[in-house]
Amino acid sequence: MEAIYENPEKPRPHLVSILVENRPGVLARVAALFSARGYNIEGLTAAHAEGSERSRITCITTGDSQTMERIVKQLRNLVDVIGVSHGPLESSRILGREMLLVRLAAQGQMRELLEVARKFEARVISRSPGRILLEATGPGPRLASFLKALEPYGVEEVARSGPVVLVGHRKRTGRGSDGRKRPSGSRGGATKRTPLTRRERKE
Amino acid sequence: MARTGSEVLLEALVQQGVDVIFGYPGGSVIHLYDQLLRFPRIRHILVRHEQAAVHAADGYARATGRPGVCLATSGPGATNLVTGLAAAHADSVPLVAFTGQVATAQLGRDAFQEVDIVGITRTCTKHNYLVRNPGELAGIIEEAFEVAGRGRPGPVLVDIPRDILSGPCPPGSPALASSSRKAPRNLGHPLQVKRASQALVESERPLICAGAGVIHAGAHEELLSLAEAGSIPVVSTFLGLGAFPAGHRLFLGMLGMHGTYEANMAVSNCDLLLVVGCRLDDRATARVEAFAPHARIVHIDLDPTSIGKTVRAHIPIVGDAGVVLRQILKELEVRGTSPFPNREDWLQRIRKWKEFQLPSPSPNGRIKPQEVIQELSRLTSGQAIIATEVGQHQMWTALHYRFQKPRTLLSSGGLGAMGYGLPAAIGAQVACPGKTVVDISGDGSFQMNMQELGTLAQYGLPVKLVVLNNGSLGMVRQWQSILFEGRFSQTILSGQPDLVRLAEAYGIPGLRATEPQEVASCLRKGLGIPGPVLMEFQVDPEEQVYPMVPPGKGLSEMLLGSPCPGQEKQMGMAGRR
Repeated sequence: MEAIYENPEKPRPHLVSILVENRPGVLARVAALFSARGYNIEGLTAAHAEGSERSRITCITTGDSQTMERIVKQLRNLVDVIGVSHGPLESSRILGREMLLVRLAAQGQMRELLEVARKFEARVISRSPGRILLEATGPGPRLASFLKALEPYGVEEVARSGPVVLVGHRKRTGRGSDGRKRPSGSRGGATKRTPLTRRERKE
Repeated sequence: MARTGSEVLLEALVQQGVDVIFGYPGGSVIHLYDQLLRFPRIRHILVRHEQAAVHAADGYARATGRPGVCLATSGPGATNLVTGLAAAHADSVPLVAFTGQVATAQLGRDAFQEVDIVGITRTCTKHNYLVRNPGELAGIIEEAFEVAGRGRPGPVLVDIPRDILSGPCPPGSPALASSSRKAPRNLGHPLQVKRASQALVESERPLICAGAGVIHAGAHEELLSLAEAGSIPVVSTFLGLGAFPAGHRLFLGMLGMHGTYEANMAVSNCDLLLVVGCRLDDRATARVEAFAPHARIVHIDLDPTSIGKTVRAHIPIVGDAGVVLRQILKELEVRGTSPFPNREDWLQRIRKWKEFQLPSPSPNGRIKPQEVIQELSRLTSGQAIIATEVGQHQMWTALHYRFQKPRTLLSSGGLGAMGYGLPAAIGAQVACPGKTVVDISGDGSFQMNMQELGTLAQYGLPVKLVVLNNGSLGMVRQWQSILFEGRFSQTILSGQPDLVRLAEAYGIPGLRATEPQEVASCLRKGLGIPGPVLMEFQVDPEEQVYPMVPPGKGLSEMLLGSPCPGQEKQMGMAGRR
C-alpha cells in the first residue's frame, strides 16, 4: 500500500497528543486502534488534563508523514476523542518532558555521582548506605544522556514515566526539544520543513 | 416507584421511533423481555440464532436508512453478534445492538455467561458502551443512536448488566456530554469544489465512480443530474449498485475484480475519476498501481479516513455526497449552459466497450446461473429488494440484476459474511412488508443460516429464496480451478439436504428447476406465491464468474472466460484488446 505514494521520506518518531473524554475504556480504545491498524506505540502516558472530565493521552509512534496523517485521522474518528495534535519528536514546538527514577548501588564514588546528578538537575529522593534513588525530569533524549552518564555507578533499577507533552503555539519558546537554549535567531531546519499541524478542534 | 432499567430502555426506544427489534432472549435480559410485553408498539422478531438478529437489523437498516435494533443475552448471545457487527461496520450500516450482561457485582469474576463483549467488539463497532450505573442508561441510549446514524454510519453496541435492567433507574438522567461535539463536515471546502468543477470541465474522458456513500447520503438524484449534465459515464462499486439506474445510457455497471468489461476498461482509460462515497478497497481497485493510471482523482467522502487510504486523491473533498454534488452542480451552473468540451470520442469508445460480449456459456442442457438472475431481473423489473449471501451468486447478482433504485441491494460487501442474506432479507421484509424481497444464495451460503427458515415460517414473511445449487463452494472452487490448477480442496459439498423438502418441513412451499426451460416458469410461480417460498435451481457447476481480474493484476487485465467449460487456460486477456 505504501508503494503507491512517491514518498522517499523516512519514518521517524512522532509525538501524538490526544485529548479525550475521561470515560472508562478510552485508553483501551486508543491502544486498540494502534494495534488493530498495525501501528506501534513506543511510549505512552495518560492522565487527567484540564478539568476532571478530560484526559490527555500522549504517545510516541514511528512513521512517515503519510502514516501519521492516517493515524491522526483515525484517532479523530473515535467518539471519545476530542482533539489530536502531533508532530515530529524533534520539532521545536513539541514541548515534552519525562520523569525518571533511578536506583543506584553507588559503590564508593558518591561525590562523583552527586556531581553528575547536579549537572542533570536531578534530585536525591532517598539515600541509604550503598543505595541512592534519584529523580530527574527533562526531554527524553536528555534523560537518556543522564542514564548513560550514570552507567559507571551501578544502575540497579530504572522507571520512566513516558512523555507528557503540550504542543506549542506558533510563537517560539527559547528552548528546543532537547531542553537546551538555542542561540536566538536560529531556526531549526527540521521545523521549517515539517510545519506542525495543530488541529485541536473544539467544536 | 422508580422505573426499572428495562422500562427506561424500552421507552427510549419508543422515543427513538424504533418499531421493531430483532432478538433472542436469555437469562441476563429476562427482565427486559418481561417488560417488552407491556410495549405493544415495539414489535419483536424472534430469530433462531443471534447472528440472524444482527444481520436482520442490518437488512432493516439498509432497506430503510433507519438504524436497525437487535437484542441478545450475555455471553454466547453477545458473541454470536460479532460477525454481524463486523459486517455492518465494514459496510457502514447504522444499527444499535443491546446485550445483557451479568450483574454489576459479578462483572469481571468469570460469572456464568459473562464475556467482555465491549472489549471483544471494540474494533468492529463504531463505538460501544458498558452501562455502569443506572443513571447513565438513558443518556447512553440517546448517544448510541446518534453515534450510529451521524456522519458515516456504523454499528454501536450497548452492554447492560442485568441488575440495571431489573433495578430502579433514576429519571431524568442527563444526556452525555459529547453528543453534539463531532458534527460531521457536510459542506465541501469551496476551493476544492471549484478545483473539482474545473477538472470536470477540462476533462476529455471523465468518469464517475459511485459508492454506497451516495446511497447513505440519499444523493442518487444529484448523481443522476451531474452525470446527465456533463454526459459523464458512471461506474458503481458493488455496494453502490442501485445508486444509478441500470440500463441508463451512461451506466457501465460495477467495477472491480468481477466488474463489467466496460466499467473496468473505462476506469483504466479515463483522464478524470470522480469518486463519490466509497473507500476504494482492494476488490474495487485490483492492483493499486494500475488503477486509473491516466486519471486525476477527485475523491468525495464524508469520512476523511476513506480518502487516500489506498489511492492517492489529487483533489480530496471531505463532505456529504449529496451536499458536495449539489455544490459542484451549482458551480457548473455558474459557468454557463454548456461548459464541457466535446466528449463524443470518449462516449464512442465507451459504447464500443459496452457492445463487447463475453463468450456466452455454451448450452449443455444445464441451467446457467446467470440466466436465472437475468430472468429474475426481468420478472421483477429490477425493482425487488435483493439480499445475497457471499460467493459466485453474489457476483452474478451484481453483474446480471439490473438494480433501478437505491437501498435495493443488501449484501455483505466489505466483510463478505456468508449467511448474511437470509436474515437480512427477513429484516428488509419486516421493514417493507409490501415489497418483493428476494434472497439469492448458493447452496453453501444458504446452509450457513438456514435455521432462519423457522423465522420466515413463524411470521409468514413472504421472502422469496432463490438457491443456485451447484453442489459446491463455488467461488473458492473457481479460484482453485483458475489459480490452483483445478485441485479442489474441500469445496465440493456432499451430504446436501433435499432443499425443497427442507423448506416443506417448515411449511414453506418448495420448488425446483433442473432444466433450462423450467427457469422462467419456476420463478414466475414462486414470485406469485403470497407467502415465503424456496426455489432451488440446479445449475451448471462448471460456470464461473467472468470477468475476473486475477490477484495482482490491474483492472484492464481481466479474464473473460472460455466458451467451453474446462478450458480456463485458453481465456483471453482483455488488456490486449
